Amino acid sequence: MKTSHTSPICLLLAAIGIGLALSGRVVADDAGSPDAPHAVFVVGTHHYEPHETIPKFAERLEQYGFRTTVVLPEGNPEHNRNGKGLPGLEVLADADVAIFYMRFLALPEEQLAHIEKYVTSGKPVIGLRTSTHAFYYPKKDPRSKWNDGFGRDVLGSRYYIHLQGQTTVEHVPDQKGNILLNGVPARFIDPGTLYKVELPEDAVPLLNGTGRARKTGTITNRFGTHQIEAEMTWPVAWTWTNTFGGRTFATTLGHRESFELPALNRLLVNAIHWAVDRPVDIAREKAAVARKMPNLKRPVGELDQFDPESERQAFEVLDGFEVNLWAAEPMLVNPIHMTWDAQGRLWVCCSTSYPQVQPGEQPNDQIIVLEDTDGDGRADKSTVFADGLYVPTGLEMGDGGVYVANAPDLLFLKDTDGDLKADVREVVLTGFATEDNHHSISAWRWGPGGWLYFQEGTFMHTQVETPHGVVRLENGGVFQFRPRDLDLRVYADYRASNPWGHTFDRWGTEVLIDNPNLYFLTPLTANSRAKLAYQSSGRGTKQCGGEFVSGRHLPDEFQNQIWTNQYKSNTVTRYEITDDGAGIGVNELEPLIRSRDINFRPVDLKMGPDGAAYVLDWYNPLIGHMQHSFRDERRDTTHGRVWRVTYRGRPLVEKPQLVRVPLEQTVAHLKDPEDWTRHQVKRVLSDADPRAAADALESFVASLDRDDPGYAHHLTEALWAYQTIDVVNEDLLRDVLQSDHPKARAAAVRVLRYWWDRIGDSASSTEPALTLLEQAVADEHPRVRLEAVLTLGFIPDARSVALACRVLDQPMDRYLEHALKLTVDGLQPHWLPAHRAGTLTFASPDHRSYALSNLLTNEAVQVMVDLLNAGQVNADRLKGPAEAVARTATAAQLEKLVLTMVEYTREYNTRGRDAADPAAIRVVLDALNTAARTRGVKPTGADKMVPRIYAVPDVDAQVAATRLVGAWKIASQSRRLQQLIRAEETDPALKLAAASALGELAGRSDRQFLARLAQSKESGQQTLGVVGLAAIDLDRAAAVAATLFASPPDSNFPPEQIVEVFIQRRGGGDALGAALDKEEVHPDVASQVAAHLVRIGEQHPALVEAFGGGVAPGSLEDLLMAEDRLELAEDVREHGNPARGERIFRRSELACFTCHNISGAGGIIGPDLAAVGSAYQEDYIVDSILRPSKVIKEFFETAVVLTDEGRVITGILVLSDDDKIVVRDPQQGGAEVTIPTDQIDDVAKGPSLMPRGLANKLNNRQEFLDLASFLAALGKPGDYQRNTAPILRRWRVAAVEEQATIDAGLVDHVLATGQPAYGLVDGTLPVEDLPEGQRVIAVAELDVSEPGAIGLKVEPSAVASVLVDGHPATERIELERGRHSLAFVLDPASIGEGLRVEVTAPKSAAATFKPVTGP
Amino acid sequence: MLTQPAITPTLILAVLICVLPRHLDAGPPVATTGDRICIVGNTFAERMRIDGFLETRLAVRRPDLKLTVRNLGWSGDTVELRPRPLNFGSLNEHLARQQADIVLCCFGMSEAFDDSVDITTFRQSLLQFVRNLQNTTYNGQAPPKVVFVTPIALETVDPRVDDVDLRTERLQAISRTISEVAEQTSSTAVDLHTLTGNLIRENPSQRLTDNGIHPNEYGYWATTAAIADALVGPATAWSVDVDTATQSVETSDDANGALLVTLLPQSDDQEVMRLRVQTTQLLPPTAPPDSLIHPSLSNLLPVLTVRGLPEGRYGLFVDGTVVAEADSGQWAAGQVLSGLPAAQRTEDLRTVICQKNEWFFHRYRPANSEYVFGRRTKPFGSVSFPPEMKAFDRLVEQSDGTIHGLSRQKRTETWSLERID
Repeated sequence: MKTSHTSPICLLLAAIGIGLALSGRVVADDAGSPDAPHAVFVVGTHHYEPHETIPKFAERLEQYGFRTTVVLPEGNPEHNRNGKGLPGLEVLADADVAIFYMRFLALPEEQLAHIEKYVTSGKPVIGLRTSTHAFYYPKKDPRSKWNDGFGRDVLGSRYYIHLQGQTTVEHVPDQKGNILLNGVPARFIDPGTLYKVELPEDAVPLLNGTGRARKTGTITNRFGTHQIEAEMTWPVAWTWTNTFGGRTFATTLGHRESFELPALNRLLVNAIHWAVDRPVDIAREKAAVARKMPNLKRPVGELDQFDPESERQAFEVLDGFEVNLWAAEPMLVNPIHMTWDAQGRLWVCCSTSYPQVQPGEQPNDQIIVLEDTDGDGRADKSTVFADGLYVPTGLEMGDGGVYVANAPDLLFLKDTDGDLKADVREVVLTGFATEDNHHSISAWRWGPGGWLYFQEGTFMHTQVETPHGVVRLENGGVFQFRPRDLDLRVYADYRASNPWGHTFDRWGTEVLIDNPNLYFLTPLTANSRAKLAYQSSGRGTKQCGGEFVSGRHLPDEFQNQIWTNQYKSNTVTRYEITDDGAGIGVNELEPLIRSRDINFRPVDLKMGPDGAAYVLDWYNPLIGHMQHSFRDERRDTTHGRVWRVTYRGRPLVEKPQLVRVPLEQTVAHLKDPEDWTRHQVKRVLSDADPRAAADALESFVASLDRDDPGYAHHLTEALWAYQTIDVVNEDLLRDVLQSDHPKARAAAVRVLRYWWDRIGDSASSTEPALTLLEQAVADEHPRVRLEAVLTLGFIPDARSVALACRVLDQPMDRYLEHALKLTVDGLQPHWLPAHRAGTLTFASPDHRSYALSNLLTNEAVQVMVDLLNAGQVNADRLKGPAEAVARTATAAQLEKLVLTMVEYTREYNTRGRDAADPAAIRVVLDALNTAARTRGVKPTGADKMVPRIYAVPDVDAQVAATRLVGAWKIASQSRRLQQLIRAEETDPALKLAAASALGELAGRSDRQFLARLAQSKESGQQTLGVVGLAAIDLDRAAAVAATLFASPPDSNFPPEQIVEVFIQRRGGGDALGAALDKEEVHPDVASQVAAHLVRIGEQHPALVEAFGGGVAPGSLEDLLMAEDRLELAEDVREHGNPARGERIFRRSELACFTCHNISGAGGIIGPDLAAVGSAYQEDYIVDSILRPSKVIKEFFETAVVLTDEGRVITGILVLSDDDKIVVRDPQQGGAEVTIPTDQIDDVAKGPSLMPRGLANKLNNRQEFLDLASFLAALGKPGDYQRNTAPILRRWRVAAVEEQATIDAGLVDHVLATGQPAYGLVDGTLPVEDLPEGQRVIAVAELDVSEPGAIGLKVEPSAVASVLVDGHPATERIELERGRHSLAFVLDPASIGEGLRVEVTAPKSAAATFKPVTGP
Repeated sequence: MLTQPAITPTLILAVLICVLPRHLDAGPPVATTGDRICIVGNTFAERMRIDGFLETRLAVRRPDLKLTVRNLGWSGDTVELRPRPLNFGSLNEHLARQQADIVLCCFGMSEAFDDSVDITTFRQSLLQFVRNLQNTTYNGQAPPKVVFVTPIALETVDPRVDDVDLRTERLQAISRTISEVAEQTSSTAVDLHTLTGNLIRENPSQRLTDNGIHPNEYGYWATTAAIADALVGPATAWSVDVDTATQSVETSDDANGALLVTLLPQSDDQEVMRLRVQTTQLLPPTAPPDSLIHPSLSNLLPVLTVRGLPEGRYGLFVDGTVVAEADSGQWAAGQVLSGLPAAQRTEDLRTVICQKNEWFFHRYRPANSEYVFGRRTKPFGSVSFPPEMKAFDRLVEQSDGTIHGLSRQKRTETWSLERID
């Protein structure tokens, strides 16, 4: 029994403690320092094996800057069975916190004294599991007071009894938001049994455990008598101030396997921080741990204040508005999405299990209902409506309950007994994809006509069985769902990426926020699943949620703007939406809220019942799971806020009473100006008895006054309401179709899309609908025509396509084009058979050829044949069908085309251009060439056609014919090709084509001919030899090319063209690289090729090396690469000067603008950099410059595609699906290139197109710091924040002679040939970017989508003159729809720093415009 | 979670209707000791994860077999088309990872709704599908035993089902084809199509599906019994028949020995009957509350019949707690005992099974799979998930142990019938 602190065991234990402390010093800044708090663990049992789990935990704790000592027993110390008790307890004297894991100890006096001294001193105490029965002294021993006393007085509860099996642990409901529970799963299964606990009143239970008992009833053990039921719930973790005044945290958890789960570890780390009064929140210590974890790359900023008021004070709010806190934790935590009900209660999906369930966790995400019951502008009641969900990504009210996204399931939850807690839970649909939960069905919203919409992002594969069939969607899109008949449809199948917002304005104009784009969604909703490229109407940075805002509380100028959330840059932004032909224009405006608080993460915004805007705040330092580790400790699970934004000095809207009043009264609110109210009226009607709802609507329509200026809209709302309750009102539909408001007519045409088979006399007849649509497709307003085209796509009748094509009789725009193409495609099964049978009549041959040329089948060949046979042919008209032919025609079909060409060119010799247009020939030949090269389709009869083409004296046509000779391998033309090469007068382009074709023919004579060329002493001949040989013998061709490159470049055959021949062949880069290894490259060749490689983004290491683009040892780049990136990032923060950096960025030798743009001005190959600094930290930016391939931004991933013909195509990956890969090819200025899957041999993920060696173009390390600091500042609040004002940023500049007349011709000339120049971030075109001279002209362009007036704000005003479209500007500038030039003539000496021009909108009759951007 | 009120009104369809034709081959049970059963197929298969009835039935009926069940079902799957996330792995890979001994295949509903699938093609694909299974060894020893489940019948009373006649016809053809392919390949077929068709037709007041095509809770409760019949043989019928006049007791399970009931002397005047009920099996899972049970399924519920009682009202007390009350006439006709305390133990078992299913789902088909094994594993997923997936595996395996433990419980109860009026 006798122990001594000098025993060897004690020394050993002390050594363990020191060892741990030492290892701690390596990982944490202040671990081991004398200031670090000292945590002493006392392990006094082997029960549950704490002697194994606790030392491991202690090691973990050291990362947070604690010193730790673990007092471990030798042998089993219970009842002093080891005879030594627990030596080493004297270390408690030095403890800042003691953590006890003890059981049934009977320690010798002096050992007990150490513990007694510690706990009675009131120091912080933490107790685990069996520590409620830490001591077991004989009854008569005075120390036996500790048997119950340690549990009762020190920890808060003594031991009573435990149950059997595992324990389900949950947060105590009112402790939601308690920081001690941060990161602790809301519900998890603990493998240990549940202990009965009885806590003093002033203890605060944090976690409850529920366990099951095998023996029930009255049970007596030596700790007392207990009433046990089959299921019992007791606290399993709590805090308390113990009877000695010590801060206490105790838990009955602590099973050996509990330590394998994340929950207990997080809980203990939090509790120990709390016990020593360190911040438990996402504070510096945790950030430091997170940053040093091996899997963490991107630090985020740090905060010290986490309270709502601190957050509010960090808001910069748009003039006139103010923000107040409406709700905050613990009322809601981790909110994702929200919706209002008709009573004005806010329903919020909250997810603490995001991003991923942890082992042992039972996800317990919730739907919370928030209410402001006393109307004081703050929520005062929070109810958990439902729990047990797993990352619910969306919800909407309906059918008396709520529909919820809980992928893979879509749930319906309902409260039937009025306690606002769901008691019905139905799985409505199953099979929504889960590949990436930030792409799960989200941004739910009812549309105006009673369909529910939700979106899915890329990567996803959804399969849902419904009673109407299986619905499948791959790689994202928009769903529409009508719960009443379980009708789920793919509403828009397009190239989705992150579609996190979907909103409708008062006329049903729908905008999809699919990051970073804002799409006018309507054309994508056609009845076709074809994915055609579709341009967005505007771009921001990534955005989530948001909607069209409306209502009397907001001043007029804000009506119908979209307010949405740029959560990455802590901003709530605004967009102005204008009409643009059939579609819309989008202009970003000054933000509503900008915050300096990095935790402000607005994720949803909805107008509320009082007309204020409500912003949902996922208050969190981290936003996604792509950017940060799933298990990053800074992920917060204890905060969440709702902010209310009001306009100062304007009254709020009186909250409408929509429920518990007669339906007539509710329906009357369909006239209200607030979108919120009209939406809720339709929700109430939808849930009401359909007959009563229809009656109410009927009286509403009857009561409307035709002279009311809002009449057209009221009628439209009524029509939508009928659609919502699924009652067809044909008279009303016909009325609205004749409305004098075009958007009412457009809305009615949309309703017809769903009602077409329920109007007129005979059911399912297409006749009545077609009659109505014949009128609509000829409507004077393009939006109506657009809806008509789309609706026709849903009418299964051959005539639909003929009617749809009538839209071609009026001006088209890209929205109409898109809709018409999809409609033509979608209707194919209905009209193509009729067309073939000759029973379908189009209004004009143009209509027919449009339809045929947009077919994915081969009728297009016939169209081309018809056009060519007609004689006079417009080459442009051939292009559409030619594209389809190239893509799909069979060899037999092509043969028809070839024979037609033979006829077409027959008479060229005698009749010349009147007989055959070379441009038309080129279109046809290119199509044939593409068909051969991309699909290997080669018609017979070609040898008759080709000779005829050579008779046409057009180089381009002949080049095309020559390429065909190669593609079709027409050996009979070999002699002609050789002659062409020999003939001196042959155009160099034709010679190159001929050489290349000879290589493809590769007959014996061709090989010999090419070999002779290659051996020639004349560089031009040699070049041709190389080009031809490359197809036959790469190594030999490379060897010749290498000798060519030793000499100065030949102007007829530039070296980069030769390099191209190699790059595009499999193994070509390697062969040339190897050959060049042995040869010196002429410096002029090297610089020309190196520049070309940078331009096209070619990264082949051997080539880059050979032409002098590699990283030379000792170069600046080499030195920077050798530095620690985090330290380098630190230097960027501390020593970088963004102003200098901006000048460096603009240097022409860096060529940044060739690929990148800032707010649109500059290249489009790389990402827009306007907000790069708000999204990424300095270390990421350092990597982006030095190691671009490591950090390729999403949507700028590159693909290297190897075709079956051995061609290599490198570009930015736009789309990859089962049929094809689309890349944006930098060699073609960013044009999209499509490669069909069946021609692809291999696809590799490519490196970044950002050229290596950029840093070597800088003069020193400081310049690098400056450049990086500039990039890091972009988009952050301050001098480089994104400015969304319409400033002219993209310029063409030139010096002009003093006496030259400045007119439209000169302006156009400058636009075409002037030097490109781009504005600074602040919008100024700096004077140093202007050419030398006293008279300089700077020209920018403006696109006008709706005609009207503009103003110009020119700084400085000392500009000599302003020209609009080449004519001196008048006082008031009126612009028609289309593109316009704005030219400024100035003397650089008189404009100071530079020129800054902002386009303004006059108060009245303003145009809708957008400055032209791009390279 | 899965809790039941003490006395649940369970109704058996009062009208006596024709006895269900059983198309099941009464062949020997498919499962043998230690078998791993893998469920594959469409939404019918996938939704079995939600209420765990099948596995509960298997564990209750044959605890000695220590079967384990893994649900690899995937909504919308067809024999031919099973789209998966990138790098998810093929069905063969997953069956091998699970070392499947028995593959339970539920296909046909999706195909019935896709008119581009003709029956001949379906037959060929299904044959190919079975041949692949029968030619592959997943458990290291022998190819798996294959059990088919035909798709359920349409519940045409649901107004949301389109083209009822066409669908019905296709479903029949598909079910027939499945049975024929099963025959041809010497595998087993469970004809749920006929069974559910009868249940729907003869018991229209009790909905069997949520939406016309997917079973609701009652639907799973009812259909899983038939699947369990094929896998492990029929359930112990919990019917106890007492004649107070002759002081005799009969149980339906005399041969099996799972249920042993003996008459004890009455302890007081109140008592008219006293029984000792010894069981080595848990009760079968209770039907969902308020369901109107088809008579052919009544053998899935415990029934006590007491004949020879004097007129009056009597309560049944189990270990002192009242669980049922009825008039003497009703007792003589037989009473379904839905509130037996032992039912809670089956519910506890089902809770653990559902928990296991949930954990297995997070493992088999984890959320964010693009980060777990897809194209975004780097840099974070490749660090976090390998150990977490192992932890889930461990939890699932531990749950198997718990399930086997919970399903092997002996129990002795005292039942007494007392006059209560």
